[in-house]
Amino acid sequence: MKDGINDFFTREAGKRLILSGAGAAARGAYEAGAGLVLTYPGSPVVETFDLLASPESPVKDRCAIVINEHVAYHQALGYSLAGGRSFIIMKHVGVNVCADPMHYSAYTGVNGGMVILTGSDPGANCSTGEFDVRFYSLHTHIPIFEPRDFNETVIITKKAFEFSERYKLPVMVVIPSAFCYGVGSALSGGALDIKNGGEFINSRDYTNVGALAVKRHELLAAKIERMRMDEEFGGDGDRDGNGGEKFCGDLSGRFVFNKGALIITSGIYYNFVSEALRELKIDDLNSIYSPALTYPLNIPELLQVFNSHNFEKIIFAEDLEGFLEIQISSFMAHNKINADIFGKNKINGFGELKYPVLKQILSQLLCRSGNNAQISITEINNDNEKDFYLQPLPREGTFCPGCPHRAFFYALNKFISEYDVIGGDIGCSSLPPHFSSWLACMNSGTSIASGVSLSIAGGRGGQSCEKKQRVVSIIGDSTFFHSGMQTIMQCAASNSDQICFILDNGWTAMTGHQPTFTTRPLNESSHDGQRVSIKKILEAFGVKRILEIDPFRVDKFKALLNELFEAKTGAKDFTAVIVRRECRMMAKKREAARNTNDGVKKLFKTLNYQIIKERCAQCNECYSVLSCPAIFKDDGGELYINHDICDGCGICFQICPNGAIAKSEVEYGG
Amino acid sequence: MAAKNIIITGMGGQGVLYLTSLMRQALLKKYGAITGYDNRGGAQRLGHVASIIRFEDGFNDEADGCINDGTGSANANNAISQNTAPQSVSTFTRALDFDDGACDYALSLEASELLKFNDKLSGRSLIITDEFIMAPTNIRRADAAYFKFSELKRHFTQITARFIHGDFRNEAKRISGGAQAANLLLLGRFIALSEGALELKDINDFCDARDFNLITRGAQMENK
Ligand code: SF4
Ligand code: SF4
Repeated sequence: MKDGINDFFTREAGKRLILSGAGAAARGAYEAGAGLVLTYPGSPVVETFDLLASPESPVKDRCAIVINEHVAYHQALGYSLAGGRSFIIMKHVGVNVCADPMHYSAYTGVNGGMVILTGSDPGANCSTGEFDVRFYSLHTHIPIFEPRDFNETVIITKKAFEFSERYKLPVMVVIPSAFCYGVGSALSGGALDIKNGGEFINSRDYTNVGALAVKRHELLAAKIERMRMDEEFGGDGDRDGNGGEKFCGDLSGRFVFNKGALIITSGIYYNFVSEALRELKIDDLNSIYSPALTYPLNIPELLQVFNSHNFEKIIFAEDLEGFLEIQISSFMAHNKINADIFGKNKINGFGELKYPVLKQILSQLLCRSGNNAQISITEINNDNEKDFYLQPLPREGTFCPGCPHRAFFYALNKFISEYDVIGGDIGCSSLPPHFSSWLACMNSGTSIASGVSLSIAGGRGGQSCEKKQRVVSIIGDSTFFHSGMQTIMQCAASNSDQICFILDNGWTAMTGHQPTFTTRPLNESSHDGQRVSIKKILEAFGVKRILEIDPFRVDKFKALLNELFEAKTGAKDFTAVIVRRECRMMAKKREAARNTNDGVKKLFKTLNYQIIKERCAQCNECYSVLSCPAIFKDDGGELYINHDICDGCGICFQICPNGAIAKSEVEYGG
Repeated sequence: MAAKNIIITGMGGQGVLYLTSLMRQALLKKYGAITGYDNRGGAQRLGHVASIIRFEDGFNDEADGCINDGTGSANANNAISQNTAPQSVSTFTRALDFDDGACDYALSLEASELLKFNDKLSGRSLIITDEFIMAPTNIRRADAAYFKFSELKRHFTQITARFIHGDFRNEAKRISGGAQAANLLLLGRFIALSEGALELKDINDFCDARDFNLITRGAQMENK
């Protein structure tokens, strides 16, 4: 791409920007003068942080990747208590990690604006699970905004800071993954100066114990009530100037009034509903209401909507659990408003809400009179699958060619059985779905802790098991720091009968290669953060048996596994094995930097691997068992290495039982 | 003009997102309004990647863009702006996603990946795909058969008469020494066949001379 004028960080208002959803939120926080930007990397909002921390960013020095979301939340809260504006970026799963301070931050309140950007993931397209993060607000009482498009995301993220200061509460902005990775247009607002934290003035408001906690809870309830009744929200007005969209505040909802049925929606689904009604040619016959603040719902807005017409049919068009439906049904009951309600009885409470599905549901509910047939996303999808000659086959996520995790799992797989228990992790190291006996593949190093109880309950040959069931836990280096350390300390203290593999590839790879505490600098200037030794931490925790191994030395690694898993002499104490080899993608960047001189490639030697057809017995060890994606099978069933894809790691060469893979040295560059 | 809908798909590492980024910038400049989304998965190579682009004519007077490069590795240096007078933000209120059967153009850098969009394809779709096929590792482990290109060709020609394919990876290797440029050849083919939806001059502002040359070579490739 040609170099262009960098306008993302323009301080001017009125400049048209084309942004991703995640980028629009970054722009809003920049315009608001956020003085502290914190994250623990998580898709789909990685880009929000990456933009603000990019070399061109005027706020790059205010940005930090923090060990986990819990710590990030505390840091941000401290900054905002001292009057500064803080911005924390996390995926929905991260909210679980900071749920504790999130609850009590609503009691303490804030002084400077504090905004939490959360990327949700309906359909679990890029993260772990797809729970509806908005429900946190029903008990934390943290207000939630759901912007509907790119422009509104800039405005709402910026205004959320003011809103946070007005009500002295942290505020959450929730955007779904499809939108985070979407691209559209927005208009810049002027950028404010950075709002720094000042002097911290202590207050009893920040103490949440006993009667003080109850008092703070009472005050919080009053605050939420004031927010609910805030007249500024639904204030009369005409947003599009044509008498169409009502409500005119930046943080107001959208109300398109045309009598007929009322479709209630939020966030990106506003445009889904608008377009579907237009395509069905019933847009001028039905009304749409889409609040921007989806918790707490604004009563003056709701009253205006419901007083405008006696809607007989209300349709809730939202994904996941029906957050608006629950709240507005309750409002309707309290206000004795009767109508037929269609929501989660029509639209599944799981998976992504796709446009064709929504359109079909609206068509069935609005275009055919009296047809209220039950319809679900699954039924519609299944319907559409019938007619085609070929159907897609699933493509599992897999490791990159040359990934050290592939070599690790290849060797491990030789020593464990289906009967053994393997505790999984989050990130690249959770990729091999063929490990069907995963205990729990999720955030927070839970697998290790579960391993403790399993080993007590009877795993590894305890009394309740007839056969020895071995417990293995696996954790990446990022998750080790994020949340694994406490559980490992617990394992060491109770001498849990399990083997814990810590896969140290030096990066938070899956989310785009953010540095961890074990990252080596890629070059002189790239990362000067503190480096921490996992081994020393384990020693300090009292782990008695700590081993270190390179998974690329396959025979040596297998010998070690043999020793660990051998029934009579194998590990009985809690054993930690640090499996260390840098993420291949980053190792290659390092090699490229080494092999380039002032932008010119130097002549360098590398290894090339080739399958010798005459020697290949087609045992499929490399193709099916190692499953290296660089190895292909031609129409005649013969295997070959695709050198466009091969990384030259040499694992296939090491494992081929027939010596059919040849290695040669080739020269590149120059 | 009704919105036009594009699907671009392939696997991580094939340059899908760069191709998408070029197209988004060019379409935005030409038409003034775009929307859509990416399905990127993790940072690993060779997972399913797809982009949706929707554009519509009639917003041209508003075009004044600063474009994030859309590759996921955010770099504000890659932002481009056309320095015209600021305008109000577009009233382009289209959904990110579009209806079944409504795909106008489908570009696939790995032929079998496009099967995931069966529902979106129809007789109105122009499909351009690389002949390259990569069996997923789950298929390899099961030692099961995967699609052959002849089967995929039959499938797509049953859906639309406008099915174009090419050996873009090998052609890219022949021309540039690397298969990575297959995405640019495929973009060139799209430009040649899009009946003016996008022209070579539209893309010129957004790539360097080497890439533009490869796109031009793609535009000159023979149809298969
Ligand atoms: S990104 Fe790195 S760690 Fe992840 S699969 Fe690829 S090579 Fe392995
Ligand atoms: S083909 Fe062999 S050398 Fe190449 S990436 Fe795969 S395992 Fe490594």
